[in-house]
Amino acid sequence: MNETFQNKFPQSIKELENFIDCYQNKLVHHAFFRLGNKEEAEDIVQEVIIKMFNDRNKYKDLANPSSYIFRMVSNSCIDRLRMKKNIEYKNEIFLKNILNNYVDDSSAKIIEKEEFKRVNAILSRIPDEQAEVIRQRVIDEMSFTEIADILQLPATTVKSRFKYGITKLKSIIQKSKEVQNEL
Amino acid sequence: MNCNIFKENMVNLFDEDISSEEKDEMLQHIEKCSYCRHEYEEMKSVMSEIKPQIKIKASRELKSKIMEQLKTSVNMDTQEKGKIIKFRMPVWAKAAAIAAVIVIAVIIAPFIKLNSSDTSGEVYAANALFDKSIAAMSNLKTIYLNLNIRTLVRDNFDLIEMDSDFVKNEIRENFSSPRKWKMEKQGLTVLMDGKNQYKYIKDDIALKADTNYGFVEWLQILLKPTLIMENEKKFSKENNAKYTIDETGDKVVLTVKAKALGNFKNDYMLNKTILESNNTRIYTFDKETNLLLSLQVYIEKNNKDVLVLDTKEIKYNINIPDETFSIKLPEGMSWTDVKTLEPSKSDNMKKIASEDAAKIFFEGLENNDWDKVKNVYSLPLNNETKAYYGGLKIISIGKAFKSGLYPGEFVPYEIKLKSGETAKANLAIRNDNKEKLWQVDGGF
Repeated sequence: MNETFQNKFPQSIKELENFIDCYQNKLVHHAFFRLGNKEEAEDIVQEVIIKMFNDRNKYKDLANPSSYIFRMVSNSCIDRLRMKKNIEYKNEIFLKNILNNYVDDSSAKIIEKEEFKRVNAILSRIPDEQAEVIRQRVIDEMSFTEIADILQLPATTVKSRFKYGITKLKSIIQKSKEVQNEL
Repeated sequence: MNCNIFKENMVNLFDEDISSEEKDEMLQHIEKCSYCRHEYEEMKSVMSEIKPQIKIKASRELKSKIMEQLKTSVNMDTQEKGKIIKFRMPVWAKAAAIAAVIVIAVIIAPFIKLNSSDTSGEVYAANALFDKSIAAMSNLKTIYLNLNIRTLVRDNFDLIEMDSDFVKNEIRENFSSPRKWKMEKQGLTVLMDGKNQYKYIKDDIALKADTNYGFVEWLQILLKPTLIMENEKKFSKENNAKYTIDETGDKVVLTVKAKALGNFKNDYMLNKTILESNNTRIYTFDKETNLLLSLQVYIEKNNKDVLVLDTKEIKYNINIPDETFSIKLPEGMSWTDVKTLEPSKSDNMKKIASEDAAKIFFEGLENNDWDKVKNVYSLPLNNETKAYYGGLKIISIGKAFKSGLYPGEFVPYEIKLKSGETAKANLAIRNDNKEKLWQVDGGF
């Protein structure tokens, strides 16, 4: 991750623009692989940045603003998913109409969605805690120290979750390959 | 290095923070040890299985969207904090269809497209237009809209009664900091005074909520006049509606053709709101200033387009006295914060059907048992309402159904009032709260 702005949350418009240039791709990428929808991912990133910037005074002395903003985006995505799940449960048709009705998806969009499904299908096979660490390491390309900072956990815990998660996935992937071979 | 130490620390090889000495040492080990090399290669291959084949990048508009929202978001200091409207908790009010709030939540998030790579004439025109609208925004101080809507005087603003006469609605908005606005018709006023939003149904209900609450439903599109174009485009994209932009002389006309949103297996809600109808929305903007000149909304019914909303007058930058943005409640009434409207959590209210909840409601009214009513209706009831409904007789309660965008259910009922009058209608009742407790929402 680019270190330039690690130490200070933007306090002026100029700084904010630099901050956005620096982090927007990473944040959108991260949110997309949680939500599976780029527009929604961008909405969340926009919402979080604006919210934080409006409270910029509060974040002036934040030790590590990039970790903090990742945590915020991450939590907003989880909230959004929870909310969508609730609504889906209540009225499937409604949700279909309102939230996910991209009939004329471009091929790029279809590829994005398929990739989202593929990655999340794999991660759904292991416990959330482990999947979370792997997500941040592999999808978001964070270092273990950064992940520790975002999740507010000791680095050793992060590493062991990563190790257990990968090991578990290894046996799952092997098994499924064996099944495929038998077929 | 031995195998145990390598195994212990293998994850470090997958970290950017690893020291070069440690890395060298570990790589040296796997050169010699085929077992550990195998372990390492396997871990690596699992990672590459997970790693996305694509990188999602922020669209080119994201940054400008953020910057614009900061600029146009009402004030950069305290009150509104540029919040994007979110899904809301229910508003218990005397009208059936409030679900449109959710749709608005989707469309109202500002969507500004400034540097589109799409060079098709239409998009180019739209972008140029929008550039201008930003410019116009900076000079925009106030707006006054006078519009006619086929609706009932006390019903929600976007509730349409196809057969009723036009009712006069007025919107006044002051864009200076803090932004304030008021929407009113004869029996209903919604006010945003920079701190809260208030909904006042004359002599009956006084509700208070936060500034971004969805009290005015779909009509809030008019409260951000410079973002209409973008909001409608975004809406079209998300809801499979179609739009065209035509330039004629000194005017630009945006026409949106939208299909009814929602589930109409039962068509009770069809045509009851703009969003729940097949409709055509025609916005006319001034080409020079890009300010909205007029809006007409037609709902298609029996293959005919019926005009249901029509602007009579739009004025910009007129003086609106600050006293406009306040509501004085009659004596004895006070504001109820929607946050405090909690469904009753008693156990016998859990896991019941909507019909049972409707029965509790009407039985409460039948026996003047207001505590019972309270289980499913958390707004305070005034004496007039109590006198009118108290002592009624239940004739029948039918089977619940869903319709349109409404997140709850409708329970058909027939009652006989003390006055001798009988009423047959559908009670709107919803349970989209955490505990899934039914709350009467309207329809009586």
